Amino acid sequence: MLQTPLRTLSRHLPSTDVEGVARQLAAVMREISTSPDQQPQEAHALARASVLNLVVYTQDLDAAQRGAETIGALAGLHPSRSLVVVAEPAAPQPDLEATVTVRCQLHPSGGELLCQEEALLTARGAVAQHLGSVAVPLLIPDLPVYLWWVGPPPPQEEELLWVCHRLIVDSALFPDPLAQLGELHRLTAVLASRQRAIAFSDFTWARLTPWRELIAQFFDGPETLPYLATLRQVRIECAVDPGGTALTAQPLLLASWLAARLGWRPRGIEALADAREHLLTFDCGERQAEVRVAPRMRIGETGASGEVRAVELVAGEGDREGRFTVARTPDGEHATTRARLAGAWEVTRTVPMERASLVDLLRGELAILRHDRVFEQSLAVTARLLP
Amino acid sequence: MTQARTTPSVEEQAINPLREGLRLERTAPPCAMVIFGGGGDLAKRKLMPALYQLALNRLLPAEFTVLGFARSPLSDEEFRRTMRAAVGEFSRTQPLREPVWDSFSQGLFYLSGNLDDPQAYQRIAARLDELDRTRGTCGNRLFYLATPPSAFPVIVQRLGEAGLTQGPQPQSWVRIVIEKPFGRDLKTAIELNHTVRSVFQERQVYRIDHYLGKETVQNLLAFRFSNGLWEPVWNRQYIDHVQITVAESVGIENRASYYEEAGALRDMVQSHMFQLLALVAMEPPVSFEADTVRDEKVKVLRAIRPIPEDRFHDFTVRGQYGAGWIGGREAPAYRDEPGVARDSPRETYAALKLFIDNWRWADTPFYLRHGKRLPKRVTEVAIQFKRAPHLLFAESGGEQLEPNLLLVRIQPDEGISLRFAAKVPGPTMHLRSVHMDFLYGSAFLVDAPDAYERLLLDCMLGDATLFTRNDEAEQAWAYVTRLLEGWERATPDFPNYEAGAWGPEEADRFLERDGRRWRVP
Ligand SMILES: NC(=O)c1ccc[n+]([C@@H]2O[C@H](COP(=O)([O-])OP(=O)(O)OC[C@H]3O[C@@H](n4cnc5c(N)ncnc54)[C@H](OP(=O)(O)O)[C@@H]3O)[C@@H](O)[C@H]2O)c1
Repeated sequence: MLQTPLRTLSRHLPSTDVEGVARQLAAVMREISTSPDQQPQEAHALARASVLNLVVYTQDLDAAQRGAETIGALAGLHPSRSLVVVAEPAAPQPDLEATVTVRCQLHPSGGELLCQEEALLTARGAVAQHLGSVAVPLLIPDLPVYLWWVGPPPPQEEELLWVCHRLIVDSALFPDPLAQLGELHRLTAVLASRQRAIAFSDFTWARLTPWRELIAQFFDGPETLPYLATLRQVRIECAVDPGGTALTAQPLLLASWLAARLGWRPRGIEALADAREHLLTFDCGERQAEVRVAPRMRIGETGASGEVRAVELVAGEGDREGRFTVARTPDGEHATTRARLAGAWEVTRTVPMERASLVDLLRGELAILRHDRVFEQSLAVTARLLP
Repeated sequence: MTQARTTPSVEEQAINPLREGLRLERTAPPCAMVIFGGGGDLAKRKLMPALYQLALNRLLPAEFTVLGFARSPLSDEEFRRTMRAAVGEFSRTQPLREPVWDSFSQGLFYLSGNLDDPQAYQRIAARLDELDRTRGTCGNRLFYLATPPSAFPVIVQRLGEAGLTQGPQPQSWVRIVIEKPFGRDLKTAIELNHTVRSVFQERQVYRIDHYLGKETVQNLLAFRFSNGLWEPVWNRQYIDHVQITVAESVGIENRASYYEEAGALRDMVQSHMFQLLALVAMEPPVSFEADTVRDEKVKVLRAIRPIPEDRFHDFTVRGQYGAGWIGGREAPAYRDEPGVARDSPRETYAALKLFIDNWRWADTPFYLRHGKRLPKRVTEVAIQFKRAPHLLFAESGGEQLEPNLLLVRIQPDEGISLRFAAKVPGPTMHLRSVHMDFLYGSAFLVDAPDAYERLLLDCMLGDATLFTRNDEAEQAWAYVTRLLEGWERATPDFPNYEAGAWGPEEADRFLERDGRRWRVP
């Protein structure tokens, strides 16, 4: 489905201002839509079918390149205008450099030209501190603005937070996930208190979606649902490189999600044995529940370090015990699930569970705009894990 | 739109707290699906591929179980092998994923027997109880009638006699899906409803019309009722007329025995086209729930003005194709298709003019047409607006301008297109009609699910919004039956259109008399 663009046109503006960028975008759009091989058979209005604005923020040129490629792969899927901002706040002179690109492709059914407009902006010096003023004139009005923030969570005073409707981060890139997920939680609170209703999302949270779905699915039936009330032990296995820790953003968020949904209150977090295993403990009414995060050496396996590999939930005891497991298969493309109710039945199955590529993840995030309250509530639990 | 539809049915009770906020809000609860006619064409082409696709998309629970029932003596293993071959051939995602199929097929079972044998239903009941114990299907049952329609009444009766209409546990549900055709005229439809209702409650009954499962048909509702722009002009003041076209380029494809009995009116108009008509013309429902939506739809069907006995000619055209050419291929006449009578009076084309007698639509004609062997396959609803009341630009091309047209294309290339006038750039006031197209595929490029996937899932979730209610079926039949009876009183002069033409010439004159023209889609 991701075809290569039919036509791409680019212009480089070594040193410019916002108006210059806007003028170039319009000029390139005009040029590309009237080039000679685009013969309008019928007078079809060139509808710019844009559905959103996307702003990517990074301080790293490589990341900007990757971001631009990811967006490029979405050409035709999400007609949009995007600004990829490389911030160089430490540069001595304020300056704005831009490359403007328009990629168009013919809609599969012919006739219509779908275009994606992109400006790669390098903002130097003081310009990097006032990105709101750069972005606003370049955004298509009335369409939602997604801010994809590459790196640790943005500071509370970042101007771009004032223009966006949805903030997308990737907590897998947080060097200290426990602390920085807490920071992200505080940012949600600050923005809410300033009446900024920004929706938050996280690629790493999105990577957990199939895990959450498969875990939730165990308890959809009336026979299994009661086991949630006696859930007492969870074990999350996480892929690590030799010497790494298993306490990455993925297991933290997964455990926090379970706790948030089941009303467990965090008690604390404890490093076990050689400090590579961790025990998260929770109060749930009279009972206690624990989540053990354990490493699994990543030797000759596919997939990234820090990724959840298997989850086991144990509820009840003796002839009322229920064991529910989800595990990624070694081929990396499937998951097997097993539900075993002592004294009753056991069912296993295999379902597809591909790793989502960055393109898939971005596409997924861009498809929604509403707040993910469950994510925000899970973040709040993570924030309370740290004493 | 899907978010608005998650209202849990009365039958759903305890809520799984882990479900909240998941993007897959709609996955099915554990249940066993009994397919009567489990080895038939529908099961192979549509049901099993749809179920496999639901499994691939993780929309089915691990406990999900199928029990196929038909005459042929097959073991569970043989049934699985047959179904594997069918899914391998008909699934919309290829190739088949072995590990997923292997695990999914562990939940497929088969029982052989005769549909009218009461003993067989005892065996079904015993097998279902066993599956509850071994696979956790929780007493939830979905009976799917995929047999020849003549068997529907007996299956329903036998299910009742065997006590299979209630689940074994207080919280378990039992539902029945009835394939189309639902009756062959008003009388048989009423009889079938009567039989069904003597055994099941209406809320357990899901009459399938797969058109309603199509994504774009549902989009019609979203388009009408979630945009403030259209509703104010969606009435007789602004709309000149509406054309609904369901054109097929294929002929009857080895289904002669069925088609000789049915014909265009029964096959397409009574079911699918009246459903489209109802969605286009209905009043906004108070909520998006099964009964509120269907209440409004049935009001439309009830408001269709009956055709006076002696004026069938003014309101209907029927046709049958003769030999001709389609897409560079020669096509035989209907009467030369294998299995068709040489003097068959069966219509393969039908056009109707309808009026909906209510405040919104009084005197606004709705033209419906459907035919086989038309030049191309297309389903669309065209809303033709009235001309602007006063033409300012008459000398500058204004008088040839077409009035505004809103086109809702259902297939292929689902989308919406609006025709309006615009100024040709330059110093003079030259006008031209332009189209503004919105293609669903370009704004949201996700694979649309097949209609059966959507409908099976809805049924497992207890959402009957996209299924036909008893009164809808009867209203539609009431109208169509009168027409059929009128037609039967005269012998038609068939064939009257060539394969590859847009229907009989009479159909063109039919609109010309009203000063209108059929669109060429
Ligand atoms: N096929 C389609 O694409 C399609 C589309 C729309 C609607 N439908 C509707 O779906 C229904 C099924 O159509 P179909 O094309 O699948 O028909 P089919 O291929 O003829 O299949 C009929 C099935 O019913 C079984 N059966 C018939 N009489 C039986 C009896 N007395 N006892 C037990 N089993 C019996 C047959 O079993 P054995 O083969 O073992 O004898 C077979 O599995 C019909 O109502 C049709 O109108 C079909």
